[in-house]
Amino acid sequence: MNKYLSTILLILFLFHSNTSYAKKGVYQTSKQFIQKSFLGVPPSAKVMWLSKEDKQIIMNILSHKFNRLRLRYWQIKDETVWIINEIGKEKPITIGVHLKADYIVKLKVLTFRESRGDEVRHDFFSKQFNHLALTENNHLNKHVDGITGATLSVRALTKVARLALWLHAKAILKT
Amino acid sequence: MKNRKPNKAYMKMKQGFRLWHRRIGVLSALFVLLLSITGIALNHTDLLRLSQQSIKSQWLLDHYGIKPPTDLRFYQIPNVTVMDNLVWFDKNMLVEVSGRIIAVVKLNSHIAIVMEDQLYLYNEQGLLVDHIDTNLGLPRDIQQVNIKNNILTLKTKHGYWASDEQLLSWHEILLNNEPKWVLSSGMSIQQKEVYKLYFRAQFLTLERIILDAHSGRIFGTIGVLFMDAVAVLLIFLSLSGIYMWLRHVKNKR
Repeated sequence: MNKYLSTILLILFLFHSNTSYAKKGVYQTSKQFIQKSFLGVPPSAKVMWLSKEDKQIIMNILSHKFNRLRLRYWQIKDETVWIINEIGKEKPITIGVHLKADYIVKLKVLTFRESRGDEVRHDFFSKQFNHLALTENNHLNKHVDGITGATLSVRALTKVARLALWLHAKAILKT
Repeated sequence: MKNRKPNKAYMKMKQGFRLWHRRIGVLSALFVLLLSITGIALNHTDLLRLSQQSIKSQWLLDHYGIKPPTDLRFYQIPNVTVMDNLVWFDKNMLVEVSGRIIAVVKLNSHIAIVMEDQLYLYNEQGLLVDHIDTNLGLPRDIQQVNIKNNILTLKTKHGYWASDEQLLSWHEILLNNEPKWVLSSGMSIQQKEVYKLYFRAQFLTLERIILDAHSGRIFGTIGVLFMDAVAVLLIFLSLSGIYMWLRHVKNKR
């Protein structure tokens, strides 16, 4: 009897440990991300107004409709921070991107709301975006390795990285 | 050669067969017309813009069980109506939001839709300017809204907050006296009925009616079974027609 009971308990334990649930939640607030990026002294937010042509480029990068007329960002000299929401599968992932000169300094998942694919929030994955820049046709200059089971989240982060780089270049050009 | 006389019973059956073929033919003609016309219309849905034509017949809306909104509010800035989680600007739907709408206010030349944890900003052409949530610094648990000199003041569960003119930053404030919070305006019964109809009509299009008429679904399961019976009659009609034609050809020879 005890033998059977221990076998059942072992099966239940193995089943439970193999069942993966995405850890939804806020990993860092946007305020904390901005403060950390600018070493504790965050500038006030700026606004970038988007023209029809800008929206078309953004739509090409995101591969879906984009209908907002303005985006906010934080800037000191050639450094900018962008907080962007992008849907992975069903719900938006809030991503913070810190950029300097023409490359990404840090990309971080701030809030994850999806039921799967939360592996993208780990540093081992997001580190791949550090020091990446944009090519002439608005693609990343280096390949980002995907994660099995998190394809859509990986795709969302890659799109946001491309978008942030494009917006950063536009903001720097403006100043 | 022996000249065979046709059997009396056989002749009677032949006449009866012809009679039923004729009767069913006349009866089916109505349904053939209905199926053909609706079928042609469905083949050209885009050209005829069937999916864009909403149905405003009270009877049909009642028949489909489409209910009016439970929350109906009107804001005079200039003409914004909140119906459940939908915001209408004049007579067009502006946005469908997830969550409770606290108030709609006019900010500069923009329309700000304030929700508990989100804020949508639209321009007067109905284009989305910005969508601000708590990730972008909007205070949580908003309960009331006030607007004065293009400064938005919010009452939340955790205190009072004010924004700058562009809604880029928020700071906590202390208020000795509560300001006049934005409330929805009154609406006449007639106005309410008009907006209720707009709300309901968006869920029923001409395309849906034609499709359901084509399949019989407009009258539920009975309608579908009835159209099945019509199809069986049409099959009978085709087969009986072929049979009679073959007999006719044989007799001619």
